[in-house]
Amino acid sequence: MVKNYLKIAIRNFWKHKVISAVNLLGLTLGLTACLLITTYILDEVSADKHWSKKNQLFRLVEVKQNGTAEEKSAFLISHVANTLHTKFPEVEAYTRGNHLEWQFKYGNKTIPAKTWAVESGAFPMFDFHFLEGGISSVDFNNNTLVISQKYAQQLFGKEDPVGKIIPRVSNSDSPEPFKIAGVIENIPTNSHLYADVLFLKKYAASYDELSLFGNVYPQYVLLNENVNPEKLAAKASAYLTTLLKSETKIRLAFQPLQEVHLKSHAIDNDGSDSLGDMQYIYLFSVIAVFLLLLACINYVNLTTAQSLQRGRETGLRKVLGANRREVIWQFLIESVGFFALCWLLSLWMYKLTLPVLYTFIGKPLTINFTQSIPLFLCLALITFLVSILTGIYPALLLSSYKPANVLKGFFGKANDRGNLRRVLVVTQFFVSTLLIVATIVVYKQLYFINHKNLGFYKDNLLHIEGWVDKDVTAIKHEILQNPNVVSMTISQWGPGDMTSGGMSMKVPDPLNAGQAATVYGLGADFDFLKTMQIPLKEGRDFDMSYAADRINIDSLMQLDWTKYETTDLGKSLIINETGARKLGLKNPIGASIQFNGMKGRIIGVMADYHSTSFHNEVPIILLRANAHYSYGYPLIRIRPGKLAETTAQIESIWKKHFPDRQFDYTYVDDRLEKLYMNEQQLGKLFGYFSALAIFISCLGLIGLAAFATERRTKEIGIRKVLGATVANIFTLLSKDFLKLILIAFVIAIPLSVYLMNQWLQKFAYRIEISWWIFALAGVCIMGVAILAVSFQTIKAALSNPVNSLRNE
Amino acid sequence: MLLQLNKVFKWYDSKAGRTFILRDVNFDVQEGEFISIMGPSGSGKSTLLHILGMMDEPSEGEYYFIEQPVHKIREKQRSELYKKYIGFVFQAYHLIDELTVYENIETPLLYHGMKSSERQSLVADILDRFHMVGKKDLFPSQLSGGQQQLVGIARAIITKPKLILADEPTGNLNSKQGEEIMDLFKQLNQEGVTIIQVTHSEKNAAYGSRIINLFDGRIEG
Repeated sequence: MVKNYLKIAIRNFWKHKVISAVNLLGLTLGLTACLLITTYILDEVSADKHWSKKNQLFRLVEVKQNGTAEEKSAFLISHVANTLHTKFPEVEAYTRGNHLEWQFKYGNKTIPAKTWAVESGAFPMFDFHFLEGGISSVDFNNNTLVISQKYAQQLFGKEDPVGKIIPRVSNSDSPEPFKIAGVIENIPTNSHLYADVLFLKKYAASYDELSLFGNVYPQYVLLNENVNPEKLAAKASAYLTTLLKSETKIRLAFQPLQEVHLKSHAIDNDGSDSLGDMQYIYLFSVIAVFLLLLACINYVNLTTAQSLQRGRETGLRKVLGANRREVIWQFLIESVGFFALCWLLSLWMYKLTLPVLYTFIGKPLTINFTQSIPLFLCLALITFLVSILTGIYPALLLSSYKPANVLKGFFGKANDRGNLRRVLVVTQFFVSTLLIVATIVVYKQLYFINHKNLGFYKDNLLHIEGWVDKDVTAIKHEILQNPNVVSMTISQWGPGDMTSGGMSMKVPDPLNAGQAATVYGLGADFDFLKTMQIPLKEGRDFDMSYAADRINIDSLMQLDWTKYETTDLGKSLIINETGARKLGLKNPIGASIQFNGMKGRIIGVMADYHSTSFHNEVPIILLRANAHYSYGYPLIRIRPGKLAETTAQIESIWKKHFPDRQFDYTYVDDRLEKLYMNEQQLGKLFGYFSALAIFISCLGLIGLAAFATERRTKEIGIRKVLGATVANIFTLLSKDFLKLILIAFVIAIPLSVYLMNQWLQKFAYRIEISWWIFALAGVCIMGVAILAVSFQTIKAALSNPVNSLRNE
Repeated sequence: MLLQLNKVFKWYDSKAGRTFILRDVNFDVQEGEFISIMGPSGSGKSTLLHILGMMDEPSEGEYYFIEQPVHKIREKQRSELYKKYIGFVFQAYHLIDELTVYENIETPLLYHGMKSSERQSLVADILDRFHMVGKKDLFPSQLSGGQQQLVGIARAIITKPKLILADEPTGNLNSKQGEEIMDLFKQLNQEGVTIIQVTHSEKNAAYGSRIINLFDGRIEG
């Protein structure tokens, strides 16, 4: 029986090659897209779920109240975790430390490594499985490393890394040697803690004394089982407030480790670019479901489009003794078989396109449907269920025909669920419209970002990566010898960096009583404004001939803390326009201003520039300059058109001074584009998704047009005999579809306005959603739809009425 | 008695009012009869045949088939009854285009839940009897009209029905092919199968043992 069903299904498939191909293509594409998106989503939501103690692991977060707003930060003064560990037995273990971008050298290979500074507590907390070697307590604070299997292979190949001493190379004079104690299994790429190298660290006991000043670190704790983290956080907050004699209450929170990856958008993570965003996960889930829905709608539409012909078969089968249940089974088997075929094809396409996805998101994923048996089975089951759900409507419809009517060539009106088909088409184009509008808005916002004046000139600007920790005045002079180098500066701030430079502090906001304003201090050398081409609005730039400009604060700072904090040095400072406005400085030039204890005098007001992405507003910036600035990023302005050759020349100079280090550089315009990587990816994704959605929807439309023309063959014949022109018939047949698309379009507009406005809230500087976006979307959709429908309608309109009327 | 119709009416309601297709039709059929139903277009012949074949229901009246009240019993029982005892032959043959001759003949057996080996031998027998063994793998579109109707009859009789209902079985055939088909019906009738055919042709009607004339939904004479 099943053989008979399949046979007829396959023969039908071959007989209607175009419709079958269209159906197959639509469903396969839909399934493949769905698979890819689901893989990504699963990878994201499974981040940090692989740690065996995941339910007891937490990240410390400090919550600061600023007016009505809460400011959360994952960077805490360094002594919190250890203090809690000593005081509260609930805290079993802790580790503190940053992720650092380091480079190590072995032989003649220098390879960058994401390096995580961990304390001994990290080992009982996280499952680091040693493959080779091992550690003991003496390894901590002894320049010892544990490296991942992947990094071991990259740097050492087949050699045994354990016990080897390798230098860490940086833009400083002396490479530090590090010993490798062991090799561990790779940390999954979707973990926000991902690292190639663990740097075993132990802080000196004196360092552990709690004070409000000092370095800040991300800190993780392991709590006992059955500890209520909220209650403990309340106790800990109270304890820390008393201990520190803090004027303001300190509020601490334990963020579950599993939530860090996706639910940290409201927390200052210092621009960690590896974190995901739950909003996008929801968004992509919805899109995946939408695409599957579109493909399934297509299947329904295209299958019922053949009902005239398949209905006859149904009628016959009933005459030959089939009951309705048997016919329903037949169509369900057909639908399951068809889905199975598309499923296999889409798995094959999935395999082919996975590497593309990896390139697209910039990292391999930890999850793959074809490599995990439970996932694979789950997928097979879901596909099966979807095929049944999708097949049930066509099966019910096609099995409902009464044999007597079918054989007379008469289809009762009761069986014509044309309304449902219409609703389905409206749904398809509703989704398509949403996606098209989203694509246009995202691209428009990106265009706006890329073309908005940043306040500094981003082109032809070379940025050498890696913090320089050495007086590079000599190197600078050497580089400036090159006639193609316009100017060069060393600055604490690299364009695009989250923080706008060095330290920041809160000062009372003079314009809003009770609130605080954050002031960022930025250190650079004398050529900063010149090199960045930031215009001065008032006053003057730094000048070597002024003594007050030349005071070197950093050298003072090393000599005497107290002096630095209390003395009014009269050091020259330049403030930005926003700063002058927000701090309420009516006559900024000559104004005395305090920053972190240091007092200085404003000599100029520079124009505002965007230190980071347009997600953030321009901050208050105080610029101070040292004649020989030695901590920061080199930024070099190069003559237009000479970028590549000059970069090579600079590289050779740089290599001469830092022979072991990879010369790592970016051009500032590229670097800034990376800030919008998420948005650019989103834009591209929306582009692909909407193209796919429209494509699939139009495939459905073709089917529906085929169905309509098939049903109306006689009407068309009669109209033509009565003198209707091809254009008349074309309009007659297309009108109905365009009406549906118009309805879908109109419904989609308010929702898309709402959704896209929500998205735009992520940007401090954003576009308006103007009417032409919808006009453009409308023209796109209508155009493509008319094209799709016209294949069928023109054919019908051109047909000879004699043929269509002969059968009657 | 094979079947009996008592006061059967069939009508359709529309905005224009009630249209009667059959009015007060009464007749009996004994097993082994060969009946021809005649009448002009629109006289209700096909509707009558569909009612007899249980593909359509009367609006009013009683229909007994081997003592069973068809008008009362449930859909499921009705289709069992129909499946077991009735075969249909159509003017337009109505073969399934996507199935071969062999598969078309085999299809009713599938719905009778017959085993594969049994099906094979039954289909082989009938192909042999109709001299169509060489054509078993052809599709309907590759056959002449007469051959298609042969397949249609083979398909109708393969389940060994008591009653064959034929709706103008020779209507699309030329006279020679028509004659062959009618001879086949006669032969089947002689083997004990009851046949009811609808026909326009006096000549074909003459093959039957009894003629029922329909006019405007009533049996005349």
